Amino acid sequence: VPSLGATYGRGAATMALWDIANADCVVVMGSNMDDPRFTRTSALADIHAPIRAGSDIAFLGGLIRYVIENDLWFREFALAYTNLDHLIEDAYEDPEVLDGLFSGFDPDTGAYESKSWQYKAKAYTAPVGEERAQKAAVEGDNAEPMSKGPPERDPTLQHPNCVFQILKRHYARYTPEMVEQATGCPKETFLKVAEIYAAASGRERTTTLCYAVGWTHHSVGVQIIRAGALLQGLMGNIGRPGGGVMALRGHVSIQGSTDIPTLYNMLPGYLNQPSALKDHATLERFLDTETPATGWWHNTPKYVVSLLKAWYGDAATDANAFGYAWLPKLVSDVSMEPMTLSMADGVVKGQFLLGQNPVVGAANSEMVERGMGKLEWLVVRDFAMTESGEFWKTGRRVQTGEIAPGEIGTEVFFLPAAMAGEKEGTVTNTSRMVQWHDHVCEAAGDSRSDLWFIYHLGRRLKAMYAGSDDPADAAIQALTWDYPVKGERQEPSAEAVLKEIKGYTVTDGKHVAKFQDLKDDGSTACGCWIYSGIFPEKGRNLARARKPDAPDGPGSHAGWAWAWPANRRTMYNRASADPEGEPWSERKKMIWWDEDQGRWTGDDVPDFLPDKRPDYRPDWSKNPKGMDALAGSDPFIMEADGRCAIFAPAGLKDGPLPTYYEPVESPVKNPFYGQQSNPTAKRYPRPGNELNPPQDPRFPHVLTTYRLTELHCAGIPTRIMPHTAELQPEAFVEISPELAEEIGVQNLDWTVLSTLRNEIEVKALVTERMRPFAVNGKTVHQIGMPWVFGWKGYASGASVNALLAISGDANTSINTTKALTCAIRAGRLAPNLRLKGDAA
Amino acid sequence: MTFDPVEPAHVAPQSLGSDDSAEPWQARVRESLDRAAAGRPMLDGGALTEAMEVLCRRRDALRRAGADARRPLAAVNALISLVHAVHYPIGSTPWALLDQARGALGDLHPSQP
Repeated sequence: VPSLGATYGRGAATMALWDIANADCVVVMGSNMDDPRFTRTSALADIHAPIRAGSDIAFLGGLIRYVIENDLWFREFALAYTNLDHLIEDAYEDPEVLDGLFSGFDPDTGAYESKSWQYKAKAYTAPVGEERAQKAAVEGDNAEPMSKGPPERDPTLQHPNCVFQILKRHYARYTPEMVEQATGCPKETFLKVAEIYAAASGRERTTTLCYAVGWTHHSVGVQIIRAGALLQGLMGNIGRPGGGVMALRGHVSIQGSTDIPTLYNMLPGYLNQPSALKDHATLERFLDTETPATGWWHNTPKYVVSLLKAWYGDAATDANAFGYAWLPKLVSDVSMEPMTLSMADGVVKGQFLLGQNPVVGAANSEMVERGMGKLEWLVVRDFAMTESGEFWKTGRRVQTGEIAPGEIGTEVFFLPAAMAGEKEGTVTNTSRMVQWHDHVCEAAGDSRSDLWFIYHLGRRLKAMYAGSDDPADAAIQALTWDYPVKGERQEPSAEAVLKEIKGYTVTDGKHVAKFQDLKDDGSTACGCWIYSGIFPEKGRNLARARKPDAPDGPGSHAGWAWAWPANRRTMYNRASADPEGEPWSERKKMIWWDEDQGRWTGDDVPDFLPDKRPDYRPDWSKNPKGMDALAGSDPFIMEADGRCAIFAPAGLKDGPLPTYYEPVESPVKNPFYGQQSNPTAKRYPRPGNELNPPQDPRFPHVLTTYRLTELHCAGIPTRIMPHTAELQPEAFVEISPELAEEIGVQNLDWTVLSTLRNEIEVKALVTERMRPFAVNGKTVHQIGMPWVFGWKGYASGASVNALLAISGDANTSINTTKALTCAIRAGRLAPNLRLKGDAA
Repeated sequence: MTFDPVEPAHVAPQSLGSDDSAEPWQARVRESLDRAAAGRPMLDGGALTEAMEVLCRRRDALRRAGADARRPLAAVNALISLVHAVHYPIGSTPWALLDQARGALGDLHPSQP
């Protein structure tokens, strides 16, 4: 979310999955092609470019340098639609100068002060993320709001502090030779990729860039994605047919889980969660700090007030600031990793696990178990009993004799969950497409839908707190919780929930047809503004729509389900036309300006004001706000300047440009800078969660983890099913023949993997899919292990996540799972340390 | 100019004593917070963990005491929030909140439950 959001304005895949067919080249990284291993996807590719896990920014930085040095970037596109010509503050200093750090780093706080990254004398605010609230901080003595005029520019790109020159200097050292040195990918292979990618980008051609969690789960995960995103902007591969960034989400409705978030720091629709540490004490002050002067986010108050009306109903009035005081205010990072550690510290007393199995799926399994063992209660809802549900009985700590079940006081409740066909509702897929699914049959026994569980839990909580006079309980008392239920099981109506999400007018309950109709005066309610329009009128649930285009149709399939925002399939599609509104080429046309109609038209819903002329220019003498401050040739409407942010002046915690750092655990020295690893990465050193020091000879190998096609996520739904379990019946670790020979093992021999956190035993799969890399002058072996195994079900084996440390990206706190270090030896663990699975 | 935030050798958790320790709980929290402050700019997670464990035990005792303990419970909860904010910052380490926590601790009377 932060990387795509900071670059383009929204944190989501920019295109539809089927639009990949329109691409002239598809680059897949961090998802099975440009991958450490040779995978089934690699087998279908024209080029497989193996890289060392965690070295992606070196590879992408090399591509950026290649297209700049060879003048292969899409000049007309990038000059018109990105911030390449914007000037940055004089105080900005690059890692080129500071040996791997940006200006503004404060060793005392371990964080950056980003003022020197700003546009010169301007107060630019980022479109997403916690840092949007820095508006007040950047509007200082010498900085004026964006509504006072555009950022200073140099269209000749010669000014030393224009983004282009900074970019050019920043990536100058990312030569093909350095790419090879850092990634281990042969220079010739890299150059082949660069040539093909550049040739498949421009006016007549486009390239799709696909990624998945192989990019996300790093200490620099956000910056890896940023590197890909800015490269696509530079090449004109955004908002155009076959041109975009496809964020391949890990499984069903991951996109939906950030739209209507399970994230601790966001409210629905990517609105920031209020913070006690910012100027958020009142609704007025919150809106003032959170509302940018220019761009679409200037509408923020409409979305916040409508959300409060949806949540608190009649209790939300103008007099009480629509119940704003009831919203929790953040003080700390309460994402999953700190929460796990806080459980171990006794801070957290209870936990709900809904379709999640962290004892297998989360980093540092033993720390997870330790935390669970400190809880008063744990609720597990899943299709079948999980390792997490039985941590107290068969967990790692119990099996190895560290603790006895009688010493664990946690009360565990296991509640069986209904499966997809046993409940109605929607899923939001990787293309932002919301699709309805019907209830087909009743769930067996006591199994219930998640909606049923949450609704009835909330109903009971409201009843419990109904008579309370404690102000802390007022939020629950005020919450609207009036969804109709049906049937003997009292199943809530998912469609009623969707109606609340899409919005309605308060006085008559009529559907809000689109988010443009939402108000900030309390007259509309809307649970998630970006979903407004999915249910435009009574009886028209567009998530149910199932009308694909005919083969000779436009190809946007606008009649199949519904995609946020406003059923646009390709976001930023204003960029598919040139500044005058004409398609860049006939072959790559998508939307264009129709002078006769005075509107944008074409094959997709325009991601732009439909009647805003291409030649519209803001009248800066009038101090324009919102969309009035963006020109008719500014396609990135969520950005305060309407431009793709090649350089991100705000919004990210670890720098305005992606920079190469070694992973927090690495067997080699950073070949680019003196700064070894991301200085802002989240580290939580404590007994049981120590990091392997860089270049520690005890842990000489790179370890990467991944899923298997046959076993889903943490495994339980597929490990308990014989027909999927038999496809991957046992855990294994993949090693190269060279490493196998070095440690003296053959295929299917037992090995022991170790880190400072733990040791596991697992059988070796000796395969040429894995290969040693020549990195920075030394041979580095890479080891790969699927993380989908545990001790329950027919397919069992060691959980590799027991080896991992809890650490995180500075922007998202997402854990590092793809690049760490380990040792491997032949043999087995002592008998008392071997875990016994169900299959045994 | 480089900065390597790898933590120095971790200080092994000291014995925290039981809830009925003769030493007031405020003193034990203060000692841990002082140690965390002295370690600046390194974030001494071990010291903060120790402080948090004592605070949480105190919180749990007050919870069991029921409605009569509402005010001291609110004070301890506020302290927990401050320490948590320093231990797990959203962005930069808010050292001022550590000072605030130490100050708030000083405001509590040692005899406060």
